[in-house]
Amino acid sequence: MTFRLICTAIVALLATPALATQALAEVPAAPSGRTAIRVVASPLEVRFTGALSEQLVKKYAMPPLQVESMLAAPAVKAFCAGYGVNTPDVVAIPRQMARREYNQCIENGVVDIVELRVGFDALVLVARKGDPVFNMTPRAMYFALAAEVPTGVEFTRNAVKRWRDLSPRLPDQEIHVLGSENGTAINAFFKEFFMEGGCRGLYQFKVFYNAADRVKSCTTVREDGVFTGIKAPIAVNFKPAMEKAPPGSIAVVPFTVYDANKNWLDLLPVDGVVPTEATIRSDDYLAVSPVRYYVKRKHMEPSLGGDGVVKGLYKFVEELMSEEAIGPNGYLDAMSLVVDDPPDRKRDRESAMRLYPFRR
Amino acid sequence: MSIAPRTPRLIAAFALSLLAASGVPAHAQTGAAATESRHPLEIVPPQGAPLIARDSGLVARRSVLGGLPDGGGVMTLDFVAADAAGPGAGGSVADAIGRWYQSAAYWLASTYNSITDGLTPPTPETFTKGFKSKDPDDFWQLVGDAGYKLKEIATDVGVVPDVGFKFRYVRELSDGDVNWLERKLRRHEEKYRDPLSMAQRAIIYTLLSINSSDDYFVEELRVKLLPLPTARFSLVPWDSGLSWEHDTLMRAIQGQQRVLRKPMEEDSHY
Repeated sequence: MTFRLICTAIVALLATPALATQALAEVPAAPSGRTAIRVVASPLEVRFTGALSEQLVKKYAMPPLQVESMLAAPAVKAFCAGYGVNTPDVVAIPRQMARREYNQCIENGVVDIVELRVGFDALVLVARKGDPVFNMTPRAMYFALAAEVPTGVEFTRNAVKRWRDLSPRLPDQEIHVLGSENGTAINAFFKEFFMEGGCRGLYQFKVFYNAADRVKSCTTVREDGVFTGIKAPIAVNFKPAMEKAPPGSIAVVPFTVYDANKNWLDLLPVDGVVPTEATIRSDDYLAVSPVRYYVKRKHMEPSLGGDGVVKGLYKFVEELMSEEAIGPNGYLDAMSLVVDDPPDRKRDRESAMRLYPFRR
Repeated sequence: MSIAPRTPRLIAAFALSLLAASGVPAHAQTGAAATESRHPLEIVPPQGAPLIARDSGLVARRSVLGGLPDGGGVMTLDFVAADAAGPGAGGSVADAIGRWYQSAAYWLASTYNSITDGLTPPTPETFTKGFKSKDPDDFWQLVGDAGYKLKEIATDVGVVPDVGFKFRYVRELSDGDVNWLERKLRRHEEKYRDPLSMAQRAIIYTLLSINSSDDYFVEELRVKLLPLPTARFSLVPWDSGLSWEHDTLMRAIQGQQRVLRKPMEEDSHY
């Protein structure tokens, strides 16, 4: 097969100058370059990246992707540490890169970043079928789960036991919430959307100047058994944890996990919006996490403006943005990724294929 | 007889006539080529010439005063013209300016009308009622969400009354706050496409953009509505010294800590 490839390249070289240039671009990376693409991905994106890796191996005979699983923030930090063979080529995270992270990238010389908008995931609240389904708000979640809550101008230990104690509109049942254990990306999302979102706007928090102090105070979860952490990977450990949980328990899980267990689960609306593919896609649902991949253009072949750090990075982009991957019946859609609308997919694909630089 | 509803139209007409009398088209006044970008209102290098930023049809001139690298500086956004239908949608510049003034005047008048019913000049008290709006899309709410609090209102009475608002940075934003505010702005953009809303969003995006840099933050924001809407951003290095007020506070806290520590140290002898 290699021999045939070489022959094709030679024929192309002789045929036209344009093709010759293209063939030169396919010349393997410099000896110092890697052959396998290195990806740092947060846990949920590892699944998507694994599926993508299989396709790249199958279709283009590329070596499997080297995937390292880590939380979103350290993953971006590793990606932004610099460029060259010792740094990752791609980072996959369940959110957009933050401005601070982007600035860090720029400072470290990682300037030509290409953003791949793959689709969406969301954090949803679920209850077992037959248990009460009620409208949840981030404010109620905060007052149910925070270790300390404001009472007047002071903070006191949270001793609320039943949802009804928080609001007459909530059911008269014990508070028990399951969610991803501390230190995971899902837990960080849960804290950002539900805990921080719940205390945002309370005047007791508006007086905090320092963001770190405010976030800590908002997101410290009580440890008296009201919240149960599910060990990672949540996709595997969710069902056994939910089976052990008392009746009326609710769980905070990614939409992908709900989708895999929807025959025995009900969704709870958040702020009056039920999470569906449509409400997630339109950003009407509150806790939406956009699945993003970031690629270093400088690691691509010289003909694409890179230094040839690794081979096949453009193929990676092409495959990930293809309809076969992120189209309505694509293999990532089959893994419960919420895919974008056709016009948005087309726009995102064009932007990715033209390697438009990402800016924040 | 109520004459307040006519006031905005009068102001708009007057401002338009001023521009018409100058005989200079709005694009010529800005003095440079337009740039097309999603969020073009970023920090301008200190040596940068005045530029026009075009965001969904909004044309703003930005300029930087003062040497930024060590001692901070001031950046201004002068909103010169806007096209509510977005770039490339046609329509004369005069129409765009007219719509802009009508919107700005409406904004001003809506605050006036709730309090006064005539040509009574505005007072700081009258304006503060406008800040108590519960509408989450209100500009004042957005400024508050960006970590700023109203500190001062300056009003001038004249043929063209002047109203200026000064906001101070009072709350650092977390990454979660920034994500939430950006989502809010995206939704604001879908809901409100008029020039005034564009200008308001441009101000907030500029605050977010500058404050996310490692070098500077906007310590003070001044928004002036008339004769031309202007936003003035006072940039201060993150690692600048404490202000007199903060220094006094810091020393007072340190003094209290020393007082509290003393008895503890004395106790430890036993």
